[in-house]
Amino acid sequence: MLVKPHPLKGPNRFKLGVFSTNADGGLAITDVPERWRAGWDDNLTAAGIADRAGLEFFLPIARWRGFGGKNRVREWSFETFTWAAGLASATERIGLFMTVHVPIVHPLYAAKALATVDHISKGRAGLNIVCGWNPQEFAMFGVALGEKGYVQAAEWIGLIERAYSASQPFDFMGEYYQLKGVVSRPASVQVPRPVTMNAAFGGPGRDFAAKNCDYLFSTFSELEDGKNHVADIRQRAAGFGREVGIYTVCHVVCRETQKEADDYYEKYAVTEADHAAVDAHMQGKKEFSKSHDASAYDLYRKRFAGGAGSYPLVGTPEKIVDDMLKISNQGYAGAALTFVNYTYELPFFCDRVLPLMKQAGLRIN
Amino acid sequence: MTLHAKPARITGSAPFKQGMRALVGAVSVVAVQDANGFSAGLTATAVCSLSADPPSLLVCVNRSSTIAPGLKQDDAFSVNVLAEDQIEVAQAFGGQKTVQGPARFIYGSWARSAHDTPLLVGARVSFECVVEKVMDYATHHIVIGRVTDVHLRHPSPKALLYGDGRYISAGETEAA
Repeated sequence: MLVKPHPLKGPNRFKLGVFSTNADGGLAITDVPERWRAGWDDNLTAAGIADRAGLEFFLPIARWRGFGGKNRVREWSFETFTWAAGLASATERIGLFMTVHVPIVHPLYAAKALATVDHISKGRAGLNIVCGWNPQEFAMFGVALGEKGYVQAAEWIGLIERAYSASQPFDFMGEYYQLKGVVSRPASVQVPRPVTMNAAFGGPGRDFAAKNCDYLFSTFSELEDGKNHVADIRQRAAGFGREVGIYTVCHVVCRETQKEADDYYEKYAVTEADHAAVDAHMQGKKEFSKSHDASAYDLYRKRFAGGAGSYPLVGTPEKIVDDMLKISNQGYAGAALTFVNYTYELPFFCDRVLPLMKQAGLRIN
Repeated sequence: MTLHAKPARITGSAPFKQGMRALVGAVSVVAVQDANGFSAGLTATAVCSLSADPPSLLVCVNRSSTIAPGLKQDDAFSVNVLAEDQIEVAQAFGGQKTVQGPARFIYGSWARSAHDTPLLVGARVSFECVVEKVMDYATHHIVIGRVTDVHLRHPSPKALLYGDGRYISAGETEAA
């Protein structure tokens, strides 16, 4: 098997990924007619564009039900192991994450499915470990939302690593899993396991990521806050003798002129937002998630409709590269990007923004 | 007539180390993962060819290094000869980064061989070995590895060298 270096370990100073193409609306909550329907052909097309342009990764969200509203946003979403397996077969070099809910998926099922995608993709797989925050989704599975989600997650990923490295069957007696004669072959191509990421915001979650993950995704409300998150995460990782690459998420509207970009952002995220779904989503997040600053809820309704509360990159290619330079200077290693319609907007972004990133020293290819 | 036993002539470790700085050599990372999931790697310049018949090499590792327990008789290991763009891998496994233990594997892409041994993707060459014999001398194990497989990268990237306390790229070369 000819294995290439994992794209996230490549030479670009600011790495780029595409986020949430597997789910209805992407990360937007909008009613514009061109909103993302997340059909398979569109996923395939978007992944092909990103792959050929040399973007580093494709990252799905894990959703089991939607947020209601007019379009029942996110209700339609592809399961991420099988989604990644399909894309692995159709792409050449892009990294492919799977987003997996620890309490819902057994670690040995996850180990085998992840290893399968790692083999199909020749070492391009990645695992986004999620504990989950939405009690309605857990109720659907008859699973209670645990109090110590990250304690379970540590046991879960530890089991996967051990199953990959053990050449003989082993028994496991943990707090959450008691297993007999564990074996899992094939092991992943990547050693010790495929790259891992997490998007925790609270202390226990960040400690879990600092100890168990290679990358941590962290959102911020203002650019200047970014470096505080970076310092916090780096310090936690150093405490475990580890380094963690820090990424963020941005929703993108990139157009020839600033006015065009601003107008479209206003249109899809305010005027033609799916307001009922925005209300439901913000309410749910506020109660159950610790994934954002508290101030974000009141101040950034537009950002919730625009991209689930992530940071907006809105404007000309030059303006967007300027913003990405600032994000990079805060210590971020890259960003996962979302668009209203990925297949309509990715070609312009790749054609116009990537060359400017090279000029700015953010990317060499 | 009594012969006075002369103390063995030996230099100090400081001039020795100073002298060895002048010995420019290839940089390798030795890596293991055992059946219990213990994985470790170490940047080494003390790697050399032993014999072509049988194909074998030797590696010298400090007995107190974290990799030492993973290099017992019949253990599998790899010797990965670094390319010029793998300085950070050399630094991580040489203890020049903050990462410790298995966390070092975040540097470089590591792929599992058919025999479950970690191989560094993008290395000039990776030798898969099995420990044939371990000899001890002072602070070090001298590990003799029987080479079981050779993974060459095509086209071969430029070599990473170490000498005078610095990493050096092999640069332009001429046929010997």
